[in-house]
Amino acid sequence: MIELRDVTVRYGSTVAVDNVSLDLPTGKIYGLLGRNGSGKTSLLSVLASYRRPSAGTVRFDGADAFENPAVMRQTCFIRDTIDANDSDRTRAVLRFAGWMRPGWDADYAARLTDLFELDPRKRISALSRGQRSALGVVLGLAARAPLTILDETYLGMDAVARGNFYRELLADYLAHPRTVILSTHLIEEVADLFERVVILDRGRVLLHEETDELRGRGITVTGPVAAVDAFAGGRTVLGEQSLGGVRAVTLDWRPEPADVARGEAAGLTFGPVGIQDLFVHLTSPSQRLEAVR
Amino acid sequence: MSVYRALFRVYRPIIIPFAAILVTFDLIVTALIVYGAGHLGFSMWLVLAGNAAKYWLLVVGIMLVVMQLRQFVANGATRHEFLAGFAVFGLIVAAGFAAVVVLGHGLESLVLGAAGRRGVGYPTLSATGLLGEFGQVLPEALGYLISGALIAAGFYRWRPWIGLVVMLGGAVPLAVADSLLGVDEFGNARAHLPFLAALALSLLATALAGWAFHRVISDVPIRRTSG
Repeated sequence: MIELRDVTVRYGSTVAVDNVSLDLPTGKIYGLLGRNGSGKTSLLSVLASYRRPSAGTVRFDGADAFENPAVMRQTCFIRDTIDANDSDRTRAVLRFAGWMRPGWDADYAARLTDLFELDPRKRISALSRGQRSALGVVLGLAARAPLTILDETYLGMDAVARGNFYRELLADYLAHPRTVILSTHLIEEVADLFERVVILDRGRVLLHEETDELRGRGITVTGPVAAVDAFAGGRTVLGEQSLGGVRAVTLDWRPEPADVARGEAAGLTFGPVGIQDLFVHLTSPSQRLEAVR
Repeated sequence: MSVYRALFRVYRPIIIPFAAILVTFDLIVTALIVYGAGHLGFSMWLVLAGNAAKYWLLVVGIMLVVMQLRQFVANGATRHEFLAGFAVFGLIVAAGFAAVVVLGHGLESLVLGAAGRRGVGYPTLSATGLLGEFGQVLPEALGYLISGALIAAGFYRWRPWIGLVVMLGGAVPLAVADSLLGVDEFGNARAHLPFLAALALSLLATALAGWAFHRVISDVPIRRTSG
């Protein structure tokens, strides 16, 4: 279990993380979501002992995490910028990880390097943004650290590379279960991987729920415009899309079976709510108070 | 793998070519002077290797903080493990450089003597003088290493103007070691202080800077500086 108790991170007068308390059971894939400046990276930096919290504690299986060799060896934090020197070659960065990481799988790293078409001879400074991201993914996955934190690691990767990353992450997670925390803005793309979602807003935890539970908070209704409008009347609409005479709306409402039956009789279809719609709704300035309530 | 072993692996490809260039350059320049003047009135090895041992270690101290700290922490080492590895690596490298400087000087002295090419002012080094010279060069090398590390740590941890203040303190071990234990190319000590007193003062300044370095790094946030 990873426990954060009253964790606060301040930069001068700016409070990046404000009194956050969280219990994160291990062996799950977490999605850490939040708008820019919500404190995601600061919180992850504290989790990975990159930074001592201004107040509060982080404990990993009951042990204080900061400067704890046993905990740090089990933690792999990959930031959106690679923590390697620009003058180093890719293969040197991977070799170094192999020296230091007890769980490093060199064969897997080599396979991922091929998959992402990384040239091991290239210096970090010569890698494109997407290639640097791919190198971060290789470092994060091949380390097989019990706590793997990927902070916007895959920004800059093209759609094909991101698809490969999601597949590899899931396959490797199933083969080698561990705790993975993904921080991302590409919510819809990654949402299917999340087992639990934590939403941060202005340094505070807005929500921490199982993904399925979160999806159950709302419903997507699709059908003819008039029928959808009639069904959705009076409900909170999280998002809507229209194409020709068809409209799809996402509602912040748990309908009763009778409501669903009534809708289906009117030609409507129902689906789970999109995590991104919920996220946008919950973190929109006008909705914050309601969400917190 | 321990931090100091990893550091040796990282620096091995740098140390070996550096030493090769140093030896080659020294041999060429020494040969040219002896060929031109017929003798050597000072120790070229003390000039080149003596300074290289100091300034290279100053740079290594800076590089260890700016380039390696982040890399080690990102790969699961604690700051304290890094500091311990830094200490072991620094001590071995400084001792190695000091030994190379002293043995090289001894060899140069021997070869020039055998060839009858020692000039009047040449600082002849006998076998009995090896230990004394090692006792001067090693604390100097350590002082430069710690100075580099503390100066870099100040800039790494704080804003530039605080870094500048830390730099003043960081320069103390280097300045004390140089002024109290430094030897010129003629083998003359710059200060006229008893050796043990000079050694004690230099080691004290280095130890204080080492303690300050430990305090600065032991909980420093790991920044995204580029290397």
